[in-house]
Amino acid sequence: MNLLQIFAQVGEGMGNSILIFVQTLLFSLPLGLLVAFGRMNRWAPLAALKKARSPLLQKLAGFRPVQLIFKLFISILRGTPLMLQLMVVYYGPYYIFKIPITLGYQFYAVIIAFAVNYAAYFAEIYRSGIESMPVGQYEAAKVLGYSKAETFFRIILPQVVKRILPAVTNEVITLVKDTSLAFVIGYAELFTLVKRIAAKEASVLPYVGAAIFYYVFNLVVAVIMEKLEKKMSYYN
Amino acid sequence: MSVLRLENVRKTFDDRLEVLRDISLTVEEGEVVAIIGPSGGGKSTLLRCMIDLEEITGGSIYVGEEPLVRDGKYCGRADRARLTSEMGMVFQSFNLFPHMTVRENLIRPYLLTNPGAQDAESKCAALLEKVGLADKRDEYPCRLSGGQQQRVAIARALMKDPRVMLFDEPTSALDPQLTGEVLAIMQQLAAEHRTMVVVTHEMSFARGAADRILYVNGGRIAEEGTPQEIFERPRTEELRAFLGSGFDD
Repeated sequence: MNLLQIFAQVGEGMGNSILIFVQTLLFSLPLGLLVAFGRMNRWAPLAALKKARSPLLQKLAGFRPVQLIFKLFISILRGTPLMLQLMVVYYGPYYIFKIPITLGYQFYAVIIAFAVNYAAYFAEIYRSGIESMPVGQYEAAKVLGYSKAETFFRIILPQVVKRILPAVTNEVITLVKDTSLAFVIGYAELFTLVKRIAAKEASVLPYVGAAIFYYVFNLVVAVIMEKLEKKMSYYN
Repeated sequence: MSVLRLENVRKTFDDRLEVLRDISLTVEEGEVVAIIGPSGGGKSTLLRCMIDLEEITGGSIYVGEEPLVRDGKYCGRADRARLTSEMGMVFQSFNLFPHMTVRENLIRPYLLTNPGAQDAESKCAALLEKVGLADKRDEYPCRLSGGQQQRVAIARALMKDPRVMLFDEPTSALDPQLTGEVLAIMQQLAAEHRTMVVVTHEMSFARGAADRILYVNGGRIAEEGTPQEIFERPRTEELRAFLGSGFDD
């Protein structure tokens, strides 16, 4: 069996890997922005306690429940393996609620786990970008009559996108390789199929083919991201 | 007719630090008011309160005859935004939008508040001509010098023809050789009787272009008068000391 034959056999797997990649980005990029907003939420229902006499009560004034929830959310998703999260999403409904798992659920499980996990990473990238914006941009927008939403979408976000693009590129490249984790629930993406063939043929050649696929995939991603960065470099 | 009126304005930070104490002042139409004083004396805060970049703790601020704040209570959100946008502001650090060209910096905010306005392009061209930057129309701010950026910022603030222009130390972030071009524009505006409030360390500008000078220190107006009164016959010891401390030219 040569490389060409192997590629011919795993064509569907390559398509599925690309599908995971595209769908994950499609959902996690906007979701990450929402998570970032939650993480930056400053709602403090007990702020009135700042004037309290007891130091303990004063501390409670800084309690920000929304921010705390999102902090915890991000912490867990970044602090545990994606492979484990994927298994929880896929097997969880059966073990916890006794809902029978159908084969059709496989793909959804992959996308849910990936999108939520990557949203957590993207959220922190968005946050770092948003918080790095000088306050003068907000002030200029305000005195020129921009509302809060207009300020964010017309002044802040376009600049944030440019600032965070290198960090996003890192994540996107990692995602290409992470798509292979879907093998753990047996979803028929490239790596799952390659493993099967390798076992059947007792050969490492299928793995070489997989390596070539991921490498070329990332090469394409890198070229596209570089083009994007160039496109954004019309100002400093 | 007064364009801006402050009555007994007070501002405290965290219920403790008093930055403004009992400030009252009136800016008349066509008047140029310069605010001078040492750093940390409250002059920038005072200016920022006028355009609602800082909230005051007590007192009133009227824009024309309408209250922005009355006895420490701000008006409704829509009125607040409308009254604020009737004023123009020029910042120390320019604060141009770096992702927009010079032209877009002028036109986009204008069209946002005046949707469908037909005069945006002609206004933009006339103002860039006025600040001497017509040839930089399609440049991005990062390609301009600090002085040029500040001139664009002045033109941007003038687009909506504000009732009053507020300047917050407009030349403090500039190299000394670039302050002249910005001050020249401001002098021109003053000569055209545009209503202006200017917080500045440029004593020669205050002396030459202002109708009235406020010396602000310790969160209050410590002395007030015409340029002649302030520079030639300072009444208080602290103003004499301030003027003698190297700020004088």
